[in-house]
Amino acid sequence: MSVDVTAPIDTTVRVRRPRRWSPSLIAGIVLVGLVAAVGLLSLVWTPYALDDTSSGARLGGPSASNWAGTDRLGRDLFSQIMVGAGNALVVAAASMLVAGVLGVLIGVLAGATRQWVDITLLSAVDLLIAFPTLLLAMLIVTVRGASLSSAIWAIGIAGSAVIARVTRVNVARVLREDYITAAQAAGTGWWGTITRHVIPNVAPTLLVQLMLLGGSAVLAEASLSYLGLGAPPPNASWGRLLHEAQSTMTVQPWGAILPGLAIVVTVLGLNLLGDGIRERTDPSLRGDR
Amino acid sequence: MKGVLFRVGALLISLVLASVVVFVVLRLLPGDAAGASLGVGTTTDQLESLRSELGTDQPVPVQYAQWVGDLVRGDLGDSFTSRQPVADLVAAKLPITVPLSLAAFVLAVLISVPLGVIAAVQRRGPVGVVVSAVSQLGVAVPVFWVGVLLVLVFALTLGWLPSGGFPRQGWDDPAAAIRSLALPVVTVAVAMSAVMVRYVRSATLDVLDQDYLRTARSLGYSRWQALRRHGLRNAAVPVVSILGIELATSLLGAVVIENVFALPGLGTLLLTSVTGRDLPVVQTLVLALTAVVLLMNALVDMLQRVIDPRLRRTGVTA
Amino acid sequence: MTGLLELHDLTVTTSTGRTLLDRVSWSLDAGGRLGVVGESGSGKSLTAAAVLGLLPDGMTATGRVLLDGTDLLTLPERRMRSIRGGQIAMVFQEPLTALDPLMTVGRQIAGPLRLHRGLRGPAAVAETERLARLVRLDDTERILGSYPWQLSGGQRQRVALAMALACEPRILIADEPTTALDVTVQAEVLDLLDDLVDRTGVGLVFVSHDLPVIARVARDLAVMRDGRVVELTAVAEALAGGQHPYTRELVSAARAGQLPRQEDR
Repeated sequence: MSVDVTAPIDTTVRVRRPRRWSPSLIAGIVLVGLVAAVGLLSLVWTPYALDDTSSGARLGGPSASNWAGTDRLGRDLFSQIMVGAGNALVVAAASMLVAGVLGVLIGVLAGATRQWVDITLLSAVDLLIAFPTLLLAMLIVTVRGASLSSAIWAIGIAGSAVIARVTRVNVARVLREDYITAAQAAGTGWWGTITRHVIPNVAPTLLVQLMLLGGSAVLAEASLSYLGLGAPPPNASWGRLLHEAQSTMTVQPWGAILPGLAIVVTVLGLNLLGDGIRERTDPSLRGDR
Repeated sequence: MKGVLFRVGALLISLVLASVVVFVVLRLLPGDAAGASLGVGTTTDQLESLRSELGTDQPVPVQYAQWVGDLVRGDLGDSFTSRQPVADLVAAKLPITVPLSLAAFVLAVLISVPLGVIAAVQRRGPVGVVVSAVSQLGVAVPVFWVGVLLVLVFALTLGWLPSGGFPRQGWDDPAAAIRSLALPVVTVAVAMSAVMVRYVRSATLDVLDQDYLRTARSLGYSRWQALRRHGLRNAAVPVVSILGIELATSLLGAVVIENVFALPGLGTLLLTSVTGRDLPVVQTLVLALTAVVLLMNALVDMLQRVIDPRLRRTGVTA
Repeated sequence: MTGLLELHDLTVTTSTGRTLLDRVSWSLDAGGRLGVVGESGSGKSLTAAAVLGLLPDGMTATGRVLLDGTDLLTLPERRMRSIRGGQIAMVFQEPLTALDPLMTVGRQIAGPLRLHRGLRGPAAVAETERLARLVRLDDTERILGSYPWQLSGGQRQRVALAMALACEPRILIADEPTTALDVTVQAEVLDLLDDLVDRTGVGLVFVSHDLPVIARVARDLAVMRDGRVVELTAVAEALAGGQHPYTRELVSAARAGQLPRQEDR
């Protein structure tokens, strides 16, 4: 059967209940759970100590004793990748927190107050959205030096702009709904309206955005540490592992492949989790978007 | 017309705000710029002379006014480390970064627009499913890793293209220059396409569900005719809105990717300046890149007004 | 005697095997006026889609849809395209979304002129203006240069009518064309439709949930329920008390003004 570009004409035909446990949601939970488990495990156990240069032959390929091979100093790569998982999740969680708190505050303020506050905050947010995360990170690193917290602040502040935008749009939309007008007519105050009606309405969308933000935080952190602007050693970051492995990848290509795969798995997991939550919470969404 | 003036005004305000932010953030540096750049082991005399030369002995608002005044007059200042004018340093890097990001942007559009439209029209067909899955995977891949993998395959294993660097003669040896930029361009374009395909696909899907496409079909237009007549223009509205951001992405992607391929462009300059705390260079480069991004966004807004007459009516986009 | 458009046991099933239309049969003579009445979900709109060959993905139509004796269900898509708009045209319920927001209505009306009649340039403009006058769009020049969202609901529906009539089709299917309009505008559009059918001789299939509205323009009546035609009669006879209990139910509900309002499109 060929594909028809026209919309279905009779609406009664295409009613489809959103699946509560969509494949995206399950895959997202599995992938993020896997990364989180590895990260947690690395706190108590890794096959070798990170600075153990005698774990195997230098630049060795994957083997029974070094599952991902070794780097040019003879350190075990699998142990470093495990620790990198913890590092990635810390950056993701912390920048989600920074972005969430900042973004929701700005968004609620902009969406629920007077027009001039709205316009001022919106222009600031738009500027921040246009201001590339990488440049912001570079500014912050120039001032504070390369560190884990520099990366988190940069990614979090940059991400707060998107969260603020989403919050503001939804707050404004919810405030226009009839039931809000009704609630306010019935004497519900400004703060009551926000906490009782607006926040619960906005929460699912925000959760989705935060998950996606977590994904881009992992990507941004990897880029920063690849460039040498992330957490300095001994923090193991996947981006830095890739940078170090690049010069020796003719001999030991796995060092330049496996940390990248770890990044992809983590980001994919967070993105799928976001999609899954959206499919679960947004009743208007059809299964295939 | 009023809308255009409004947008230009907003652009100017954004530029001023951006310059203030860049300036203020960099003044938060502990100690001062002169001390930071000279490092340990410098005499007080050296420090003092550098301070007066840089103007960092002046109050901060005066410094800002001087910096902006110089910028407006076209004086971008001198680098701390190499003592060369920033303008010369930047000019020397443009022949690498500009072609790289522009070519990557064009290539990304050429890849993602047709793929996105086909993926939407055949959303349940094999093409649609594959494109969606690949782009879902693609947005999770860091751009620099794409570069690393391409180097591994096409430079180190197959030996088709150089793994990095730029010919010393530059564009005087066009074949060599293009060969060195080939992998970087593909890298940035592939990474961008993953994101843009999703936008194009979802914008097209939205349009496919619209009643006016059904109207067109009921009047005898074929699927593709209906999509071409009504769909692409309508789908272009949301897609164009992200083009500005995507052009910025290509520029920033170029900045990162230059470091993967050891290309002596703006990105490499920016990175060495950040690690060397070369304030004038960082300050000017960050502001210049931001200005380009803001300018692109403004242009995109105006382009949207051309496409969508509804925006011309309201004046302010919410 | 054979009708211009004849449906013989038109049946539509989904890929999962559900039957949405069950052996629908009716006939429309040249210049005839057929009303199709039924609640939402009774299959009225689906019948129209099946006639035009625009069923949603995964649905198949069986039976016969004869236009002048040619079975449309077996026609290749390319030939169907010249029938759509050229022989059978359609007007939809919501004129705002049925028109492209980014194209002036003049260009939208000119579209089918070029597609089916090869008209372009000044000839197309002149014909567009004639069509605008035909559907009584006053202030023609301004309206043709406007975008749909700049017009009133009644004006938009007139534009949709002009597009549908652009290539002088022999059959016009109007799917709830007045449901989205105000009552006064509704009356105007119905009068216009009535007048257009008289003047152009186009055969009208008027689909609605609203029996009194149908009674204003249609002569024959097909009463649909759950994908079946339960009664074929004349509108006058139905109003005088139809054969089928459901028809009588519809009539008495219409008298009491209690016909269940249609919720969706």
